[in-house]
Amino acid sequence: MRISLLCLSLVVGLAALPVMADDMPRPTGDAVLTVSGQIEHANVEQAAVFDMAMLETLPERSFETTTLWTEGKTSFAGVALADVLEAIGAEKGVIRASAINDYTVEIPVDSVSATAPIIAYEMNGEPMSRRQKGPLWIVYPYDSDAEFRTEVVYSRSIWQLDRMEIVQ
Amino acid sequence: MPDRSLQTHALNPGGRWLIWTVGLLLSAMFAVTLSLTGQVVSNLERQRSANSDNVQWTLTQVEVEYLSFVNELEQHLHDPDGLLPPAEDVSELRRKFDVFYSRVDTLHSSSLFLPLREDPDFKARLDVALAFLDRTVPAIDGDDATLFSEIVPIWQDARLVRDEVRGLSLEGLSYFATTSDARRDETATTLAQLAALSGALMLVLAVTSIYLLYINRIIRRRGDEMVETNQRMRTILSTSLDGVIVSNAAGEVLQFNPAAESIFGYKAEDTIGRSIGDLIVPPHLRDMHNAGMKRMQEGGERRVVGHGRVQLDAMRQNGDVFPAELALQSAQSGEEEIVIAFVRDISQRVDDQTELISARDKALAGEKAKAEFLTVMTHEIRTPLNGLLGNLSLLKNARPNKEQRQFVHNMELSGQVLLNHVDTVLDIARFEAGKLSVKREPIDLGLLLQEIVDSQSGYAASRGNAITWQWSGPAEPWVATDGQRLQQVLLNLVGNAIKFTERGRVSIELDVAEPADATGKAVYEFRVTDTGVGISEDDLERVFDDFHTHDASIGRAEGGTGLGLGIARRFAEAMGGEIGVESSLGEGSVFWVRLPLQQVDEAKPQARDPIHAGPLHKLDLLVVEDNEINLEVIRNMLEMDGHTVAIARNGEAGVEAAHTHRFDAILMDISMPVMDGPTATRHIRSEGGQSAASPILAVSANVLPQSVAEFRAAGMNAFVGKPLTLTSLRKALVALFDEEDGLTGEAEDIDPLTSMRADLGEEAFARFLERFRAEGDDMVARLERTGETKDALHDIAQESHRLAGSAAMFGALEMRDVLIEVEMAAKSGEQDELAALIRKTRGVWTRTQKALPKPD
Repeated sequence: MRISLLCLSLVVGLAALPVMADDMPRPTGDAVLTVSGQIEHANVEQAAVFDMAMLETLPERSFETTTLWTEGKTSFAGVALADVLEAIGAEKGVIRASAINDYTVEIPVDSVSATAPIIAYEMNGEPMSRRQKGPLWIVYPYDSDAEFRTEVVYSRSIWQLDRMEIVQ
Repeated sequence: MPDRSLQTHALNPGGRWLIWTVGLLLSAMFAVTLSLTGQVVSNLERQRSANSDNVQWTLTQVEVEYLSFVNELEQHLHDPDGLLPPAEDVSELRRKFDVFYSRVDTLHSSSLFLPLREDPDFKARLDVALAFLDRTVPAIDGDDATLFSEIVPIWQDARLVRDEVRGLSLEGLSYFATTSDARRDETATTLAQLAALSGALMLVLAVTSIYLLYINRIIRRRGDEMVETNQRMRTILSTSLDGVIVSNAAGEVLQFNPAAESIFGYKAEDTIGRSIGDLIVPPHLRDMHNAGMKRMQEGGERRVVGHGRVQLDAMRQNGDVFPAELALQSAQSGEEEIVIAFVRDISQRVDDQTELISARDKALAGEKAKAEFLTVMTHEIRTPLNGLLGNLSLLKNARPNKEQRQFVHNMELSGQVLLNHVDTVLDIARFEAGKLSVKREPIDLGLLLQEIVDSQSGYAASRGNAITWQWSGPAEPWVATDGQRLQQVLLNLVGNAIKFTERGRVSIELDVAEPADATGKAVYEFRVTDTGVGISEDDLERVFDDFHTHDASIGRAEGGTGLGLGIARRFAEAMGGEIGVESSLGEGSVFWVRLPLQQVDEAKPQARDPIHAGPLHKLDLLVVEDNEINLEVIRNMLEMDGHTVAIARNGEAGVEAAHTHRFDAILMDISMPVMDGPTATRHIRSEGGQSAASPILAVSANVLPQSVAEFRAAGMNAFVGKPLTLTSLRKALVALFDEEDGLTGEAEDIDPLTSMRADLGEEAFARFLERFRAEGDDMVARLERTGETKDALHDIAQESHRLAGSAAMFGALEMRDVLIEVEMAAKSGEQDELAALIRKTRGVWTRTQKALPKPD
């Protein structure tokens, strides 16, 4: 029932959006990330749906940092959020990022830099399972700058990410 | 100056101390404030990057996800009679499980919960939750059918851990709430401290401000005072009569006062900043000036600065060089040294001085020329006058008639008066020119007075006066003096007395006023008493002045020059005596003369006659003697006889001299510093120098037979005792060359003073006498304050010996004896005896001094 409600709202939302070209390659594997809203490129019903292979075609970024939620130094690898935004043609507005348990945070596009945050898909060289905050986790290099050790950034560090919506 | 400037700028020590304290306090408080602020900032920072909200979220989410998972389980539990059929799809269940799993896993692995995990309750609950998850994972990861069949046991299991999961959230929340409270309290405390400290800081700042205001007031007051002082200084400078020029250390003019302007002709504004050397130092002094400036800048010696007034040449603007008096002072003006010159134009004074000096020189030259003219003229007049008088006496014998004889007689009288006058003037002129000599020869005073009375009785009778002479005490007539001068003095007084007495009496009295001392010198007093007109009190003081006549009419009538008493005074003084007068007007006068005269024995042969002990050719002699007086006496005596004399002041120097030069004979003192006589003799004899074979004459006051034997043993050929006389010296030398054996040990029994005086001449004698007195005084004083150390005793022995030699020379035998005793006592170190002798020496010296002749 929840699913149907969700589907309904999606359909209503999409109907209101301007028609976009489905000019992105379609996902072939399981979808891991769905981006909707004010985007220029889409592949499935005006949304940009990524499987893991598609994410891996984007440049890989990695760093080491400690986090509040892990023990000791942890290395992360993934794609820069900025690269994803560029791939879908989102230049402004706010990203509403949601987790599989519907936890949602807002990240202004302006706050996204070329290197931080990343959408991590590997932790310590291993893919992350859902039980380990996987498969995708928005991670900042917390150790590199005090700017990344704030309440706001911690709250934006959303794990078990599965969808994003770009809104104005 | 530097001190003053310090005082002006510095506060009193208390104030400075206060400033230091306040400064330190402020710094300390500032440091503490900084540290507290840092703490607050870091606290805020911690809260800024704080994670508590996130933690709380995570904690609450554990329970939320747990409930979500249980709820999903229950979706599959609906019984067949329910509203909805049980769900077939378990993927949602797997997702809920994973999310719950991930929440618990976060609690288990996140560093955020590290402190919380140390809480045993929390840890136990976490373990329960983890155990449940681990138990459930196989079913969740199995295929759908298996999972579906396992749902009921999983649900039942999950219900069992519900309290634990809830507990996890609650305990975590309460733990973090407590931590957060503690941190807030900490921050609040820090802020309170900060506030208190800031308050204190404000207070201190306020106090400091008040103090600074106070200091500012003081400084302003001092500033005012300084302005006032400056004003005063400027007034002083501008009204000073002396030129005042202030320059810096480089010599550039800083100030030039109006007096300096008028002295040098510059305008002050033209001089500022210019080199003082170029402005006022004349070209010929410029090198010296520059050298002086350089010396001063280098901190070297200052020859003019700070050394009072000096006289220098200075130069005006127009190039005129003039004498100036200059005083330079340096002072510290702030960091810089300044030089202040006070200049006075003294050209007028110098001109006046030069004029005065030249006037004085002219006057002196005139005086001298006059005296010389007088001497020459009187001498020149005397010669023809003698011719005239001689021819007159011849004329008397040429049988003139009665009338002619009268003329000749008159001419002869006038000629005699004229000759007298000329002689008088000649005496004065000689005296003034310093050519007056005083002879010494034995005379009989009785005879002298008798001759005077005889020669003046005719003149006295012509004025109706009686004239007599007599001894008023015992007669001691024989003295050694210049009889002619004494006669002149007395004749003047007697002639004067007769001149001013009519039908009265002129009497001459003579006595010994002070009996003879050890040297035989006695003071004789001659009194010429008349019953004449007397002298008024006003005139008493002036009667001995030149050209003074008691009464012009009488003076003319008696043909006096007014020089008579003046001459008498000069002669008396030249002979070491005094002259005076007592008189009352109308009753007569007493003229008196007191003279120190050397008494001599009538029968005695005259000591000054040279004794020719034998033919003695001119000798080349060496005198070795440490006593300066003795050395000089011996040398004078020897040189008087034409000998060549070399001197050495101690035995060692004597040995050296004897080594390099062959002397005909050596006169050797016995006791000398460095090396004594016998040792020196041994060296001379044994070293084979030039004088190794020359006869050596021992000169010593020590005449004991054993000593003489000792001298002979040392290689000395002869001996002459002290006191030395020319005669004894001559005898000894002659004996030396006759048979070279004069070690007889006999001192001459002769009045040493008289003979020495005669031998050396008056001038040298007086010099030696003066020295002996000084040495004696010095010695007695030193004896009385001397210490008892070994060195002091040695010195005493040596000095006593030396002075004993001098004492013997002056015939002060008592003094010599006591000094020899002192020497012995000092040598043997007998302190008590020495002390007694030293006390005795003082008395003996006092007696000796009285007995010594007064310096003429």
